[in-house]
Amino acid sequence: MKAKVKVKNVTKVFGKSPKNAIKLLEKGYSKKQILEQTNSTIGVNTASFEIYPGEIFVVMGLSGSGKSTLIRMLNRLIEPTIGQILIDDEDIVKMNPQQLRDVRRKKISMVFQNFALFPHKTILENTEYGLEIQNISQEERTEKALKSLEIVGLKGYEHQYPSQLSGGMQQRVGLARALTSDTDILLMDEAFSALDPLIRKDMQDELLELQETMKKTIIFITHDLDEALRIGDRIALMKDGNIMQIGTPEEIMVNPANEYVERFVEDVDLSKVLTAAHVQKRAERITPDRGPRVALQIMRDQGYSSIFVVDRRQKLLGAINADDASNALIKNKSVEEVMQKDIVTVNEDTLLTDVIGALATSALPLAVVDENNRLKGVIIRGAVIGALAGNTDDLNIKGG
Amino acid sequence: MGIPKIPLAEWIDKIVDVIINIFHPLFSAVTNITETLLNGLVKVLGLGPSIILIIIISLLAFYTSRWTVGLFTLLGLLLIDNLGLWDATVDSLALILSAIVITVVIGIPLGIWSSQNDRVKQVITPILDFMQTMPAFVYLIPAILFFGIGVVPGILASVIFAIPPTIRLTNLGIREVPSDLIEASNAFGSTTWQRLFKVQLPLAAPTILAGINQSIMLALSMVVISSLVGAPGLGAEVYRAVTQIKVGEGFEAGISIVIVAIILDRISQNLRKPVYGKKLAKKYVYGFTVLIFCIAAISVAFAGGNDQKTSSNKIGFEVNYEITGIDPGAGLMKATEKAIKDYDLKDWTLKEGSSAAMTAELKKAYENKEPIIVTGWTPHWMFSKYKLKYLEDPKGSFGKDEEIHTVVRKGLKEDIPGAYKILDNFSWKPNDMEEVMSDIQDGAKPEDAAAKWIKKHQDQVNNWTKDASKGNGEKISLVYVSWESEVASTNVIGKALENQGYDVTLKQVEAGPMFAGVSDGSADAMVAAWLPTTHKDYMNEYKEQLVDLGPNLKGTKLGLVVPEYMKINSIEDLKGKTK
Repeated sequence: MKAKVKVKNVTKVFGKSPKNAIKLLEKGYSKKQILEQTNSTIGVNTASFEIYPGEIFVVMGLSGSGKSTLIRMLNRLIEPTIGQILIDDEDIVKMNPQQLRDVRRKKISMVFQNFALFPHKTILENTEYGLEIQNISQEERTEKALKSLEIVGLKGYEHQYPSQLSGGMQQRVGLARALTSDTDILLMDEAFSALDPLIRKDMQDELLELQETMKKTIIFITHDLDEALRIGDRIALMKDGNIMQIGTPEEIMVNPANEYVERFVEDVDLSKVLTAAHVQKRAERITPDRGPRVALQIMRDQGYSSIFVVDRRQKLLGAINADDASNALIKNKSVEEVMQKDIVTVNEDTLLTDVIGALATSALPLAVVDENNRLKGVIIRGAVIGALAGNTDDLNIKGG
Repeated sequence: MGIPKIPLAEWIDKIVDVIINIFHPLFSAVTNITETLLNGLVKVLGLGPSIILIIIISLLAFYTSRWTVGLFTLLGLLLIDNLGLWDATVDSLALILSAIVITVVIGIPLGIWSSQNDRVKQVITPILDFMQTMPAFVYLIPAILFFGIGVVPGILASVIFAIPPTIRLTNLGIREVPSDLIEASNAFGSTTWQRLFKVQLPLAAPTILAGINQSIMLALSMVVISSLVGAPGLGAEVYRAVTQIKVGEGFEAGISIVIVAIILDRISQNLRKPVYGKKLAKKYVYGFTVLIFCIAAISVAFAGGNDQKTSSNKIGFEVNYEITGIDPGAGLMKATEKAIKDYDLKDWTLKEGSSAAMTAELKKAYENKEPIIVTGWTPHWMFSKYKLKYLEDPKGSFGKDEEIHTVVRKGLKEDIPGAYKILDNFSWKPNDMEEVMSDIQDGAKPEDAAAKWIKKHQDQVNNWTKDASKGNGEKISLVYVSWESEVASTNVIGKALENQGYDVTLKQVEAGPMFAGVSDGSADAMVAAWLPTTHKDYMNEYKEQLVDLGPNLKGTKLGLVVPEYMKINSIEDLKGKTK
């Protein structure tokens, strides 16, 4: 796929002698050494990556890691010291002020951490600000602004002032303001960090929902790994101005590129990242026509106390355990007659959090099924516990 | 001390001279614009009976502040009207408003500029510090030289003094706009102007208004100081009261200034968030107020045609029917008022100021060969420096020739008989005095000029001191008014006393305090009492507590003085023939 945004070797040096700092940087001096020698701070060090249309690209890192600087260079609120930033194959670093203004008006809009709503303007006036400065007619901009407000669920608030709204609502206005410009790219600078955890989650869900329909290219900054894992299609993890690793949430979690990433992700609640697919094992199964004797034999060979029963098309019918099978032998009943039919099932992409809940209430191992109720695998307690403890032997990793 | 004194004063004087020569047309233009603005305001504010303006201002105060402030405004303004100070109040209001209009027009753009550009801010900040800490009086000196005396230098000095808070707070207000709002504005592609007008200025407005409020208060405090250069209004009333030691009148004028200050402060503080702003939309109220003033301005403009002074009197037209006067408390001013009455010069106005302001005006006019009429007296150095003439005074309004008397406190004769004797013997001639004055005018320090004269005329001084006992460090304090003649005489007699062993201190005061000081014994003597006319009022008031030792100089003269190049000889020639 053709990249929407290409960032090539972008570096930002703060301070009075950026050229010296760049020279030292090229010689391989560390950030600290450069600070001592030139009194310049490296904000971002040779960042290169591509962002594809329609993806949510999350830039994550602790405070001071340079993520805010990075995102601000994408619309040149901060001037890169060197490097290229191509948006739709046009280098915005080389643009004159007029061209840059056009890009900001038509291609990139931004949502801010502290909402940055204009307190002297109503919600409507805030929302239509991007169009107002383009001298678009009042009717057209009101119409577009009202539409965006409706999308974010703030219809009816258009004549209020920001101070009359809660934090969550204010951020919706910030989002609506960015949507009104109808740009392809949306920069979100810790957009949800100032919200309380419950509202933050709601907003994340809503953003994902919106993204389903809008298909924007979203560059999202956060210092919260959970948030990054939840909404990011891909994540770039930054430290001290350097990008440590770029990958899908799974790759970052499971395959940390270095010790820092590993340390960063180790405290994360794996149950919120890993899904049933990660811990499922191959399931032993029989078809009902094999009879209880075969079932018992398989259980004995494999060391299981139960076994799933499927039809010829691998559709899950039930489960039978050793006691049930013995009963059937004594009383000469069929497998279908003695098997348990109320089986707790999960999907492959059910998060481990939910898997654990189901596991606790079920006497049998959990069956993983697809949308047609075909058996894909089984989840046993030991594997879940091992995976949550970070034991990679218990994980099935896609693509290696 | 090997390092000679750096001639800073001379340099400044030279620079000012050069500036005057180069920018003369510019200063005239500024003067004209400011005067037009001010006259317009005075006329608009003075239109109709005073009660109309009182009610408008009260309603405005009522709307912006609490109703108590509205009531206070009404009562306060009615009190001022009742005290007979309404015209002076209108003059002061017009002065303040003109100063504020200029302050806003210049200050806000400067503030905006310095908020956008760090270098501009770095340059402006020390200048603002300088402007605010430099004593306001100092601005009056170049202001007189550049713009003459009258109300214009008053306004411009007020602007210089009052403008820093507006510039500072405009800059501050804009810089204080949260950076994320600036970022947001930029991120959506605002131009610099869009950002400024849609985000920065609206958010900085409260701070900017606070700055303007402070500027108004500073301009108000300049009202009194401006009166030193002849600005009319409540300040002139205060100044006159001070020079004449009229406690009651001073209080009346002072309390009027306080009332005006409170009203202006409350209204300007609350302009942005008026108390009744929710019931009556701001734009309607302010729009209505502006409308009233516009209607008044238009009617003034139409009526203005009849108000024009006719040009049939050439001299009068050339000098704008103005006589340039000195300190409002001086007897010379009183005599001039009398002359205006005696000769029926009803179109003429007498501008108040100070003797320094008058000579500055004279210098400026003389160098440009422009017509000017001043109140003058002899002895004065200006007669040796310029070719001047007195206008004939056939009706004798300025009285006969005057004498300068030596006056001492009661009991001085008993306390310090030696000094008393010397003071009693002190007498000299106008040309002696002018010799000293001329030296001082050319840059000598008064005490040096006095010492020089004494050295040259030792015989004459010996006559003063011959039968007086020598002093032994007794303290003698002499008071004088800061007229050139009195500076000269007081320094000479002071030096003479000092040479005889007395410990002399000289105190420069206004005429009223001079008499009051000698009469209550806080000063010992003065050699500066102009009699029988100039200081007549003071002499009458205090003569019981004073000892008049008689004239120390005869042959003084008062009158209206013009440069010789003016084709006019008598006060009668001034008489206007209005059509």
